[in-house]
Amino acid sequence: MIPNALSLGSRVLAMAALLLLTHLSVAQRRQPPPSPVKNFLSTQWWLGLRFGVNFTQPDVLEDYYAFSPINYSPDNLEKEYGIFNLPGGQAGLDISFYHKGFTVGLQPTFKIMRYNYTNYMEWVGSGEADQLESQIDVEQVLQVVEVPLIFKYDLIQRGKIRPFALIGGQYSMIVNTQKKVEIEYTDYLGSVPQTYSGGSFNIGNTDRMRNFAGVLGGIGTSLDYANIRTVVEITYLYGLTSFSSNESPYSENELVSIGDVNDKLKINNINAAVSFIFPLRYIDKTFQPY
Amino acid sequence: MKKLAYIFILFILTTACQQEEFDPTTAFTKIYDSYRGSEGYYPIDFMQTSTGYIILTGQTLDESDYLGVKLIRVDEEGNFLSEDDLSADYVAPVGDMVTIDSVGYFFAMNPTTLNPVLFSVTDEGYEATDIAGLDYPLAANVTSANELLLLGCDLSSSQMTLATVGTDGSANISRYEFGAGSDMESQIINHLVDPEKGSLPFFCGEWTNGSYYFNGIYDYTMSLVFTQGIGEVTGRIMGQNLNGGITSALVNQGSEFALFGFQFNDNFILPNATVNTNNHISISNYIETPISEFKSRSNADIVKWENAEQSYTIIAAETESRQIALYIYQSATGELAGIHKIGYINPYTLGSIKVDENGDVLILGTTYLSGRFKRVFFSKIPASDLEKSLN
Repeated sequence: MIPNALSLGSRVLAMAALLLLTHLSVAQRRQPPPSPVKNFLSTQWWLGLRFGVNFTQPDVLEDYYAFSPINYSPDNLEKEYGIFNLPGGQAGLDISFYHKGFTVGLQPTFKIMRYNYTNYMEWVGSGEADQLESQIDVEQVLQVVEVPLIFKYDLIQRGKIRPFALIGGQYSMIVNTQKKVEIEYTDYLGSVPQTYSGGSFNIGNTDRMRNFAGVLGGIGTSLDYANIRTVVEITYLYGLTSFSSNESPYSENELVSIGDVNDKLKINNINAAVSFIFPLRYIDKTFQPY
Repeated sequence: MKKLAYIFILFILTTACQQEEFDPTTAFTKIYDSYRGSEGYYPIDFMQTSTGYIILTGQTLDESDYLGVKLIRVDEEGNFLSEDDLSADYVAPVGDMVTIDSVGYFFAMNPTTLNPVLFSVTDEGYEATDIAGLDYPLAANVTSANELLLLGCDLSSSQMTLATVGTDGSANISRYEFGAGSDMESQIINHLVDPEKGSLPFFCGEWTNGSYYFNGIYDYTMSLVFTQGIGEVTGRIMGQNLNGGITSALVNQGSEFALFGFQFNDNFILPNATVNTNNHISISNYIETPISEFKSRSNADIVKWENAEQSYTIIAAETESRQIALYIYQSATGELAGIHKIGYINPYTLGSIKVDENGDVLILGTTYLSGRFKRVFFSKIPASDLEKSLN
């Protein structure tokens, strides 16, 4: 008689023991050395150049007016700001340290930001003919050296396309600021309203500004093609501090007689940038990562 | 790298928490605008109160040839608070606006009687007192006895009048003949009704205890006349008819004056001239090199200003470029120490300049919005800004 086959429980137990032995034997096996390419990329310094464009959103913290109206509401003097409508540019360095999916980077950048606003004024007399409108268009240009510190995480850590998300903070140092002012009048003196230029001015106002800081977040991707790493990213910088000077905005200035005085502002900024970066660690012929 | 990140985050957080407030009372430039294009203002003087400032301004009126009277009340930051329009009953306001025991005083005119009206002004309101026996107020000041000094004229008898006026309205009056010649009456009327074209530099003050001066018409010329009390003329600086004379004067000490004068279209400055107050001397003896920067017949005002090191004389006047220029002279030597300009793009004219207890300079005047609308501007320049103008 053939002995009865093993009971079901015994068979399961035997299978488990076999699997355990197999696992232990595999675990005890010596790990194969990591591939040179993987080793090369898991911890690395990167350095490169970064270029891009940016768009600015002025964020009014407090309205200031040079005019103090005696018979109309100051609300009529509020400036109308353009939002993310004027492109600026930036160029700088991209220095980063990568380790197992995480990157810490500094991106010292020379950056030009632009925004604009418009002042409308109107005076009326006893008749329709005695009416004048003025429109003052102001473009503010800020040149700053911006130093963002970013923390980046690669969402996909293998392959030639590595999307990532980033957060960080930035400190911006004012280098130079300028206002471009254009004045236009419309006079209703004649039967046909006459519109004419009241002049245009370029005025430096660096002394009315100060350094500012903010936080940032964004997304992007690294592209490992053509023997170079190309990083494309879009970031949103949220201003934490005002860049308006701490001095009284009402002190004498060149534009006060046309009613122009800086509001208390901070700025938010959208950046689109591309970096071309290179690994800093020595590459020998063994490593041909790309 | 980790340490660097910590430092950077700390830095940003510290920056984010930094003090961002400023004190808007330290410096301001305000323009008091009206949407009515037909309104025009001729600011005259101002006073400081416990809560801000009160500005005295003339205003063009449709119903009168004279300027109306308006008081604009502003806070310590220069922001408009309210206005008292007195034009229905009073016209032709004159400076200086002076302060006696924290109450401001100025004169205007009753358009019916032509009598001067003494106004006392506080934060709470104002009172008006008619001064009988006088006509056409032209200028005012304060005396060391805390009385008001009022320069006026009586056109019917062709006389200038100088009076000390108590705060209760009581007046002690002296009269001084215009002198031989004609047409001075119409010139004074032009001064009152058309200050932009016909303004004459009337002013008065006390130069030593009980001795007064007035700049008015005397012996048919615009003269700076020195009197012993309210009475006898001791001397004067003779102008050239109405074509030359003194525009503004400030006593440095004794008979040493800071003077701003004019001769035809030229202007000149004497920051510390010793004036012979006991003789009649032609202005041509005082004229020095004309300063070409100032516009013809510019208004002018002179104040004392001090920093930690020394005393200065600030002479404010209007430039050909329609700015206001502050020429800052060392009081002791008369050396020009610096120049500070006010006003860009639109024209500016000068009303009055004063120095507050902190050494900050307050300037009142007119600016022409859009190049045409006459509006009051009021500016406070911190002493620290003026320091930067010193060489």
